[in-house]
Amino acid sequence: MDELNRRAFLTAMASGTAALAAPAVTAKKPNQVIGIQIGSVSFLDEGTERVLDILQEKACVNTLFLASFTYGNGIASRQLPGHPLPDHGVQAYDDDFHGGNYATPHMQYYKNTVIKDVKAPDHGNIDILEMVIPVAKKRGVKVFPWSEDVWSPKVPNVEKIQEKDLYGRNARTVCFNNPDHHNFLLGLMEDFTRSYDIDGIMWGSERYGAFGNMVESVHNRNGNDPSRVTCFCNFCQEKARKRGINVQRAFDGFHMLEAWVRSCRSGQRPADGYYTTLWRVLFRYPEILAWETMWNDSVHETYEAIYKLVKSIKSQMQVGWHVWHAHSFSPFFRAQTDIQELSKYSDYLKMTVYHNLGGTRMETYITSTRNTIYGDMPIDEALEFEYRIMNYRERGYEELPYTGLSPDYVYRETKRCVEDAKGTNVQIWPGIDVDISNMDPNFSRCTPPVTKEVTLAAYRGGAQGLVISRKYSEMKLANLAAVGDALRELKIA
Amino acid sequence: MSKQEVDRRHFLRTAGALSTAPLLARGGLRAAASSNRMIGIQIGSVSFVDEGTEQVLDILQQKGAVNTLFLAVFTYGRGIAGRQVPGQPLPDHGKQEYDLNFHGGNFATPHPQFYKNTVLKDTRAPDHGNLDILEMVLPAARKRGMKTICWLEDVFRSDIPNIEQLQEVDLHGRNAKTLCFNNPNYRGFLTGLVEDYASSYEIDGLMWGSERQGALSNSLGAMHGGAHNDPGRVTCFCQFCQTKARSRGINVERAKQGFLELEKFVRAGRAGQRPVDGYYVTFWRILLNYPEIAAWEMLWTDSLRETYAAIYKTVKSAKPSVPVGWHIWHNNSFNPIYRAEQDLQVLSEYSDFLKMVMYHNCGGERMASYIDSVSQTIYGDTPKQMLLDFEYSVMNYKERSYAEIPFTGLSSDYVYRETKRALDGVAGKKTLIWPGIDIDIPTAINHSRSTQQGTKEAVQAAFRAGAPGVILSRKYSEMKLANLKGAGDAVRELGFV
Repeated sequence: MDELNRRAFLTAMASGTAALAAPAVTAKKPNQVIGIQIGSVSFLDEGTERVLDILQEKACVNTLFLASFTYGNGIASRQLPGHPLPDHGVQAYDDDFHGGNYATPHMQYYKNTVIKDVKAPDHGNIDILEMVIPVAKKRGVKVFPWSEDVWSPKVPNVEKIQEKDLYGRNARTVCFNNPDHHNFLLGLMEDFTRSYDIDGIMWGSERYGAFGNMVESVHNRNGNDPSRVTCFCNFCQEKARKRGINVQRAFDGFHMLEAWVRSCRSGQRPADGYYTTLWRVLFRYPEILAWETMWNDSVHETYEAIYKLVKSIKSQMQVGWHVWHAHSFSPFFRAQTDIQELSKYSDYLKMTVYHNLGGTRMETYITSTRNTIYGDMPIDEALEFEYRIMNYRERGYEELPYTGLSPDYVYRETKRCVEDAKGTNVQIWPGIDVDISNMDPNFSRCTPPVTKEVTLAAYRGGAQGLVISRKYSEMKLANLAAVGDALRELKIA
Repeated sequence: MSKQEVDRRHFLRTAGALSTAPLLARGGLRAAASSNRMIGIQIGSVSFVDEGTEQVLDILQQKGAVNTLFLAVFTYGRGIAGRQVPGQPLPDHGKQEYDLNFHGGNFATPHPQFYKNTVLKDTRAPDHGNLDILEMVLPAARKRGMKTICWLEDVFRSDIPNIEQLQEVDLHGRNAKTLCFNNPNYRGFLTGLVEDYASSYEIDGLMWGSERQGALSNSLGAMHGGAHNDPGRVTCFCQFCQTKARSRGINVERAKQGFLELEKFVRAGRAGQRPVDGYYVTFWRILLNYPEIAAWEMLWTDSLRETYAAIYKTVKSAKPSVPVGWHIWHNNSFNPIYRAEQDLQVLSEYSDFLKMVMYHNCGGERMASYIDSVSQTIYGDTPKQMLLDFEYSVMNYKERSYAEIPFTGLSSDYVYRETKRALDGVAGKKTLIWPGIDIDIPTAINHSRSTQQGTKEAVQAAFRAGAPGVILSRKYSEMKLANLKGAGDAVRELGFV
């Protein structure tokens, strides 16, 4: 495999050389971040210069959000297997994707953690930051290492940082209150900040606490297994006690909530209704809410710790967060995503407003609640209620997966976030959907006209930057160009 | 002439009148004796004083097929005592004038030995002089085979001696008009009062009711008429509650901070200032940031439940055969948060019966009023009709539109569903469900009014759902006889008499 990667790399470097010979794209100097999320494989497959040419020419990109640490193929790797390959890059799936740190871990930064062996083996010894930064800099293109909270169970020692579920079993996710995880993240960010000439960092966690995971799901139409919600590890229990939470009552409460969820999902309508009895459980055990907030606070404390650390090393660095799409669906997650609070340790927020994928996700979210929170009502009515409380005007339940959400959704979400950030220095950079592929191939697809409209909508909503998402390797060039068309029309680029 | 003298003389006149109506009484006795369902009616002392005991009992038995009196023996409110509410049309019986000088209190005789554990001692209702309504009505009712259940409610006035020592304390430290269940003086008073009734009189049961809820729901205005609630005046934050909260592990300061945040949210909503993230989301943000709000709400509710349990235990100790139950507030039909707190399985541990309020006619304007209120707070994101549809779904109703319900009331199907739900709620328990049926409960003058047919259908619906009894409400003195007859017609048609 290393052999293959090595060869791919050399091929890519060769084509990159060819690209260098071509007239360089004159970097424009927009004052706003026009970012794109991109994984290392794209540079290797297509050549660094060539990729940068495309990004600059077609989409006016001036900032790379370079997937530097992840074990997920949502932001790294080529197109997801089973989905149509785009009109660029190697025309094959990388079925042997592994993930990890695509730069070089410098071991002095990982002394305070048992997590050490995280170098991504996908491309042999390539250090993607080392490879891309100098070329990007030459063009005036900024580089932000982009890391996410997605792990592989194969990482050595990862079991020591994994969350514990309600029954004490290890989860695949890792715990923010676990010092080894916390220190790993800080070490990683310090490593990026000190070892490379980067312009900022972005980190993201697409998760929430045990309450949200029990009663709803953005990714699973049938909801999640209510017994596998997290985290109840010793570190979390200890933290809970310090916050004055009665741990035993929290456990009791979640067990009661689990029983409620299981009963509801088995088709047993509570005599007093779903909505009422959910409230009953919460009143009986307010510790459930306290535990949820503790989980969420732990993520925010992680933000803050990363922010302070990076700023203490290079104060000019822009530090911000990818905010999970769930803020567009779950009122509970939105409630916990208080931008005024986040602004205390955020230079920018990439607010996910994926319109096309949003259709099936909204449908999935509502479906997941049909036997819990919204079990009392027809699903169309639940969706209408959802639209009202989230302030959307979108299509019906049946249509959503085939239409996606509209540019109006992007406008409303951007506007909301910009208004939320008023009076702070935090900037809102909507994350827009260009060919995000992790959905049924029969569902709606991005098109150039709508992608352009979405970009225009984001700026009409007051965006102060843009992050084209999720990854270049799944984007069609026509849709990428549509983003650029909008930016040129707006004279932003 | 003093008021007491007037009342005394009036009482003697009507007491004389009642002895001249024996025929009706005998017919009624037979009807009551053969009834196999509890057919109760709420009635205040003034009706007996105004119309005569025997005459009233005749009417109740003949027209309403009533076999049980829920006699308002303790209240300072005119919802269940006194004549018709001033401003509302007087019914076709009783004295044709309003009792503008209504006072309230204990309409029986307080026996001081039962009030040693409270500073609240002087509660004798002065409305009818020295009349003891239990002493007057009990024998007459018993003679006819009618039962008499003492009916008491948690409504006080502010000029009772020492009342300030029992009052709740609001979020900003001010005394409220309501009393605190965690205040030993109030607990001592209530247990003394019910022990007095159970020990001093041959009563057939006792029903107490509290139409109140905790600070969370009150702050949100989650009740009919809730738009007028001041979120700064929610209760209770007295020293007794604070001590109890601490013993439950609640951080008192954080709870107060949470309610102050909630107060700001509600004030902004009422002023039409939509939160950027929406009303529902912002409400949840406050609740998640301050779970102590939910803990405090439950502290209040648990205190109410403990009061139920204390009353139950006291009465059972004094006279084990006396059934004890509770009037459960109409808000149970509107506010899902309040309904969540009315866990019938829990209540059944100390309830022989539950009068579940399901007032269909006034329910229409009350539902609309609830919607009006919460559409400015927790559910401010949704248009009123959509919110009402959501409400109907979560409460399991199929009723008319927002624009219509004040003018139509709720349907008998509502009564059916509520009865059925309550019966399902006590499944496996011995607690009896006695739906409270609306007969002429006042509504705004241009809004819907009870009808004979509507009343009949409501009673039929309650029994069709499986109720073992009904309580005709709120008080005889506001009911039209035709509508009372509507209830009786249903009972007779069903063959229960």
